[in-house]
Amino acid sequence: MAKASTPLSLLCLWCFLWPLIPACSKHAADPPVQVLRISQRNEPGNLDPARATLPDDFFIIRALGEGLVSPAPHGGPPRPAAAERWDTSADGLTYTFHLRRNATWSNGEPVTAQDFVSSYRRVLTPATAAPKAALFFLVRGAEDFYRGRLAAFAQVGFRAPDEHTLIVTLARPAAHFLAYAASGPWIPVNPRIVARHGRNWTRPEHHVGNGPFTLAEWRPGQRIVVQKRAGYWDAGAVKVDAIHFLAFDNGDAEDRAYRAGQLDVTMAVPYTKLAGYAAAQPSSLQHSPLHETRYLAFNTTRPPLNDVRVRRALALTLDRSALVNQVLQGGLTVARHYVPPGLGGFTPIARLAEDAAEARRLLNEAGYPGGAGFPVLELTGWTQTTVLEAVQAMWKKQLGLSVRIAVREARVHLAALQQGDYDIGFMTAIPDVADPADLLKDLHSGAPANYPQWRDVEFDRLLTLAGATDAPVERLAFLAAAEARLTTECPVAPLYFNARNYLLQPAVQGWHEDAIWTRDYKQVSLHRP
Amino acid sequence: MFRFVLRRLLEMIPVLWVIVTATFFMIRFVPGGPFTAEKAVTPEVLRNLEAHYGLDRPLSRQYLDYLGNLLHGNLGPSFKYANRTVNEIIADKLPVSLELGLLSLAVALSLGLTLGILAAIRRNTGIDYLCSSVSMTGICVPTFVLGPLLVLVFAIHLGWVNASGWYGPADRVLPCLTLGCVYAAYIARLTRGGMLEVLGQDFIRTARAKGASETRVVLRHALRGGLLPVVSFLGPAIAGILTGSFVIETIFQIPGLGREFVNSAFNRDYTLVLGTVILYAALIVVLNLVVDVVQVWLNPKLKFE
Amino acid sequence: MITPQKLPDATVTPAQLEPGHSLWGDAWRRLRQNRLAVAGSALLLVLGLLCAFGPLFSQSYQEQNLELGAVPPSAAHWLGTDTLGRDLFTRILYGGRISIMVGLVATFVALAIGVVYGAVAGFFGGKIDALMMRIVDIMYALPFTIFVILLMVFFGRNIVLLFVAIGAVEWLTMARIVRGQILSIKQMEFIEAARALGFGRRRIIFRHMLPNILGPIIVYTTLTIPAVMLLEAFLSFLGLGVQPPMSSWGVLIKDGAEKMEEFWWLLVFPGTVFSLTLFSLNFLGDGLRDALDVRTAQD
Repeated sequence: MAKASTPLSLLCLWCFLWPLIPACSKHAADPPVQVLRISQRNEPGNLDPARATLPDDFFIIRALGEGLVSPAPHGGPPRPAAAERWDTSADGLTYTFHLRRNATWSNGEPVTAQDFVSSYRRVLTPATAAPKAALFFLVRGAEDFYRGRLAAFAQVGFRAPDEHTLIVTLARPAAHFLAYAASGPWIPVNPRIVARHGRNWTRPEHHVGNGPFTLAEWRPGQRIVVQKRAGYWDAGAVKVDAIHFLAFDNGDAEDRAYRAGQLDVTMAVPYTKLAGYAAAQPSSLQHSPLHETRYLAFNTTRPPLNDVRVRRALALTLDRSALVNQVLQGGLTVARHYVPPGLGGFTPIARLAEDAAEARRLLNEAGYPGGAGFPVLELTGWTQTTVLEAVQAMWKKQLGLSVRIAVREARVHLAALQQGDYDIGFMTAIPDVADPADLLKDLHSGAPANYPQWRDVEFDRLLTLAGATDAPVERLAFLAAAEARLTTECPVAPLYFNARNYLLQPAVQGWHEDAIWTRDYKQVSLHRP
Repeated sequence: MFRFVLRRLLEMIPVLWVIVTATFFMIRFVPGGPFTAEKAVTPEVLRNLEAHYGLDRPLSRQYLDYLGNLLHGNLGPSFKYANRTVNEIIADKLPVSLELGLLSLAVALSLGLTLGILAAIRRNTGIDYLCSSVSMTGICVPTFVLGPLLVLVFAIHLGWVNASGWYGPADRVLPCLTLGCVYAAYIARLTRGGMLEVLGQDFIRTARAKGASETRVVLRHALRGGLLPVVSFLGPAIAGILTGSFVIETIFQIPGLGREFVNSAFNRDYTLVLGTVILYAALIVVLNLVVDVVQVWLNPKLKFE
Repeated sequence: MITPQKLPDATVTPAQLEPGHSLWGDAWRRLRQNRLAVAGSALLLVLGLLCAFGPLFSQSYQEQNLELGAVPPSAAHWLGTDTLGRDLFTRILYGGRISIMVGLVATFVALAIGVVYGAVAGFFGGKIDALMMRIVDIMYALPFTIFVILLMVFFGRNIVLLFVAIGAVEWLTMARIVRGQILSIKQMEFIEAARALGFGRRRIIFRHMLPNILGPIIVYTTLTIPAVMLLEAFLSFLGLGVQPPMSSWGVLIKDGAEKMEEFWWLLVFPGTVFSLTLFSLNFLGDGLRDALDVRTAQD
């Protein structure tokens, strides 16, 4: 095809090597009629719901399996999935899920309540090393079993009285329980298949799932192909024949592939291209907010950052709308508080006021008038260095402070933050489930993701109160009050809430995804001209 | 010569051992581990994970186990890709890298040698300046600029080939051209330099005086000596090309070893790092051996020592 | 400009026998006659001076203007601005300081180690050669990313480490090239003659052998410089090397390559300066090689 463009030498070479080139026949250009091609940023490490960690892994896992309930596409209460309905006991402690009678695994076996119990037992067994086991801790006895304090799984709150009924008993009433049940690790696995193939059960030749698609091909670093499953209980609703998850390591390569017509859905438009697409192809450029917070963590154990006035001064000086609109070319939301609004119904009650004069006053009060005598702190990050550069310039201009930027390799950076070996670090807070408590508990005293190493009795107390209440409104009020502590104590300085700015071919319709990276492929249809 | 090659292959064993040992311990001292994530896991989860992957045992024990498995050709399971072993990953990706590498090498050699020889024999003429400028341009334009540019022109604007992927034969054109051009530039410069060095020497004058044709002088006598620096350069360069180029593979999304090579270090996928390093080391040793053999062949005065 | 100091008494070479010209005088005369080499050195000088003193008269490399953002070249900003509204011309000048320094110093480190190492291995041959070359093999294979991260873990962030890291990889190929060349001239008559005259090994290696393999050394040196400058960009991504808001040519080019479709000037100008420098270096290198080539001198 490109022969005219290549030098003669290459052409000759081509004739020689042509027969040697393997796998020529599998060309991307001749797929079945309705193939959705989605860019996949991170090669999934694992397609086992119990062991997967990244949202990227769950992009594929959710095509292959479904839990009791699944998240609603635009937020809101979870919808029926493997369970067609459920009853809640009057005391809010017991959930009785009625499973679909026509639900099957992709090997033809019926999906039973016992399968769910076995799957959850597997997640909670320490030897499984499930990284997200904590998402089951609302269930009675689950945490104790995981920690080894309870030997008999029978005492954990999962029970299968018959093939199609699963009864879940909670430790205490929790209105937000369904949001947890809708999370990825609650997707069941076929216990017989897992037992037979061990860690190899997620290979295409062995994989068995209960979802709308089956795993047809997995070529690492290249693509993962899932195909529509005829035996799925709702197969009639599934509109595409297959989905290709094509591996792209970065936004530039993906952008070029999209423009060459190789992709239907991209992951993220490089921010320098946002304005161009907004002007030229406004119908392709999609925007959906994410419940993720980009923030600066202050190491509260190090002077002068142990002084709340200094932290406040630093947090109040930042011009967030300049960061979002000018540095990052829009498409994101300014964050003047920590928990993304709308996450599990969250509404903040306090916001940081950007006030440079107040910041200078605070800095003066803390003993650094005009920045004099302030040590040179290190501002570390591993990505988005332009944001760090802008922040550095803002502090310099408004407060007369000099900070030094230090870029680190990603895991070196993360390890340094976990050990508290840093001054100011650029981080992202990502919730596992649609629950504000999931983000706030990271800042509880001694929590592993409490990067500021912050200890606040009042904050901890409010979180405990929120955990003890079963009235949803009251619980959210406690959480909002806890969050307000962050705006006064400033262990972190929120910068902006992430959003997904991506490209979608106009031919794709019914694309849905929520703010915590869950997609619903069932609704998607293609209308290629 | 047989003894020489055999001895060198035996020397490979201690070399590989040193590399494996150094890499094994180096990577363990790097901050962050395979389970370091943006959302830090609790110490309990970390303990369970480490127990699951056998990382909770003493380091010396893990090292000896690794060596034991290595002797059986078993490179162990990958940490990041749970259902695959390092052997499988390499077996899966090496052919892709080999294909990319061999095609690129062919481009590099055919282009580079032609430019270099032309420049040398037409020294300080327009042809020399043209050839040298072309190769210099190749050096000044890094792959991460050339690759996207080629994609913009041939995939996006002309629509002749795909922008990325590794499916059909047409998908080979742009990556191999990009990777080949860079090495071609190096080869051209080195060939020209080496040839000039030789063209001035006595035996060339002798050959000319004996009435050998210019073509014969250039291709038989001058090229032999002139290729020496090229050959020395090519040993490690071929090892690098064959194990894949991270940049090219990322630009064109090629499922080769180059990405694993770099990403395994970023992922702290200990076994995969070791596996790729061992492969690369073996290639280096073998190719440097080949280089030494070729050097003797190019210069009959040398002996195998 | 890097190797000639090893030359002054290449006594047995025939050039020395011609009366009236010293080797240096000859070389200098021939270099001046090479127009490309002169043009190259002039350009290098100008660029060097601009990078060294230009920033004294221009604005700050880190002065941001977020409202302005990235704009194409204009009267106020000769080469345009980057996405943070910083003047690109100034940033190129500042970046040049880093890149030229890194390029020259790291290349010199690589050159010095590589030449000596390769020459010694090639000259002695046998077991010494085998051992030294196996060490090179080992160095080749050690994973570079991990090596760099470890360097920083143990020694902190330090400009010296940058040279150590780059020098550690770049000398290897040089050593192999030099060794190959030394092997090839080891058996030649003039070396035999020098041996017969009873010269010491060091004298034979450095005064008789090296001057005769200068060609490949100079060529490979000029190839190392761009490689080093681009490698520096990778190292600053790992946290070694220049850190924002300071920049280098490698970082500017990498950054510009990502944005070339929207903001062409961010790639074109740093790329042009980078290329001009390399072209000049090569012309100068070629000129030097020709000028110092004792054999062509007789023609």
